[in-house]
Amino acid sequence: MKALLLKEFYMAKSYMRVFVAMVLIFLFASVWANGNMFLIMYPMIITSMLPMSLLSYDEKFHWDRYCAAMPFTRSQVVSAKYIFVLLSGLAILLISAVAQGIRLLPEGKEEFFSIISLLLAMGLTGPAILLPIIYKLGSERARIAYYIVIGAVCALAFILPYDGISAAGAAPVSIPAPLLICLISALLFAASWLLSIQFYKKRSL
Amino acid sequence: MNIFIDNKSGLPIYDQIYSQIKNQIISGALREDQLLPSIRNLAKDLGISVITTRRAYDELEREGFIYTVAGKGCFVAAKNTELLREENLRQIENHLQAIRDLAAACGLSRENIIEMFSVIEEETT
Amino acid sequence: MNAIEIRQLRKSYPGFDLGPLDLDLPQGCIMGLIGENGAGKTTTIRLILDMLQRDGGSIRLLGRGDGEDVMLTREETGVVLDEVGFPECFNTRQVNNVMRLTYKNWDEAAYREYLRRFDLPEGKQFKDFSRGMKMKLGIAVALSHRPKLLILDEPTSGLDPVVRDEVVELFSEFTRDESHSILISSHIVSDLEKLCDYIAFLHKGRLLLCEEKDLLLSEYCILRCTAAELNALPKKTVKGGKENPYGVTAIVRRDAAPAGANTSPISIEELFVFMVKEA
Repeated sequence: MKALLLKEFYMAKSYMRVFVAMVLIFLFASVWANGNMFLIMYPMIITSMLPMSLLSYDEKFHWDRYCAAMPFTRSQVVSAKYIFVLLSGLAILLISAVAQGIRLLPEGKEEFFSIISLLLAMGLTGPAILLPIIYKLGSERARIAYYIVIGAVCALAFILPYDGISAAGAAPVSIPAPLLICLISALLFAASWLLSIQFYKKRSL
Repeated sequence: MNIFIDNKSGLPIYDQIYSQIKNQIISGALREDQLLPSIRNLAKDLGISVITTRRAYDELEREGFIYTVAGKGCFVAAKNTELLREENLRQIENHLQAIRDLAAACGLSRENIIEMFSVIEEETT
Repeated sequence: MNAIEIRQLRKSYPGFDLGPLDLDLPQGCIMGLIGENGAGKTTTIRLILDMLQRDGGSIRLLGRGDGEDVMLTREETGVVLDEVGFPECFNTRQVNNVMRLTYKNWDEAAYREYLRRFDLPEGKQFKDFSRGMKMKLGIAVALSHRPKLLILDEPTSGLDPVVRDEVVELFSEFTRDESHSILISSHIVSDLEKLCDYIAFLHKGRLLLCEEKDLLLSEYCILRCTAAELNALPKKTVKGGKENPYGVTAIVRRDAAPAGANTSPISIEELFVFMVKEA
């Protein structure tokens, strides 16, 4: 497993340099451009799309076939991507938390936690929906789904803060809205993980 | 020990190895109780199949020219005059077969061959 | 023990049926899988490596069946496929770092030695490697984790004759140890002829034969004679023939060739081509 994560890391390092620069720029900007939701959410959205790019590279380079003969189970191969989502998402989450914390915490905690929970949701949802599709169908056939989901997640990034939080607040449960969003995202992600493993076990390489 | 394999001769390779080792044992080039190369090493060094060298060694052992000590390897067996005589008889038989084949190709009859042999005998006495 | 034991292996695609195949690779031996493009060599290998699901039959590797110690078998199996699947951004150092964490028996010193022998540059990215260099890297990696079994799919394609010879020599050395075995598929038959103990002919998904190479070579020969002389031989000793205005050239069983006839040894390639035309 460590080997697989190292490989993901090496690839991310090589192919994602421009992306990393963009993420940093947006993060910076989000501290000053007061409350611009897009600037706040964008770094997490593009980070969350990374694993899908990495997966399509795997197919292009025939790494997927090559590592099928190595001492990894298909389960481990899938899990490496999901762990990558968690690790990269966590990194962006922490940095964003610091950036937004500087801006928001002096005035009160509520907006801060809402934004954190939204970031988490953004980070987990894209991969949770797309990864199983790609593991089932392969990158090529999943391409349309890929673009639909990117579009939808970006749209969600605009809608959710304004309508979503109030909607969640009106939900007939006593859990605070941010926590609810986190729980739902986590469950979705876990279900997606298990589903991807099942799909990949059946794949012909 | 010297072994030369001829891929083009049409003679089975195991036969070539078998013959060459046997001749060297008979001529004394290989001494009694001398250790022979392992089946695998011989195969790899000659660039031929392990199965073939195994077959050659099996044949040599069956005929009593070599013996195997488990865990140590194959060794040259003691010379045996009975074996030598058998060996010479075998060689004569092979030569006779070759003569017969050539005779067939030239269309010579048995009488022709016997006549040729008589001439040779006279010349050498 | 058999390094590979295949029984009644079957896989069907629309328009192509593989099998049922029966194949045994005894430990310590090298088996060459020969077949034209599309004969099913790569499919067979992918089935052996569990990259494809089989439709029927069983496969045992290194004495283990389905689900038995799969990871251990993978540790002990070195694989070179016709495409070496490293990410293009990798260099040899990164390959080493990833493989070190992948295989328990990764031998870094051996890996570096192969890199040196094959003249593979340190800092260069995999995408800048020539086809031959990519294969060499794949071979270096396959040999560097102390495998017991090598499964090779067209490992010498794209290599020039000098390097091919070196690589074939390496594979031969690998089986100096009697616990090491190799299954190698190729359509460069001359490489296999030098290397293999057993030869298997695959044609349109069926196994035409699987025999000891030296037996095959001694069993058949090429006969040059007149058409009349050829017709005089029993039908089943003649494997195929070509006629020209001056006579015929045919493949016959050696013991059926008339004494003193014009015979010459056969090559595996010639035998295969003739058999495929027959089939």
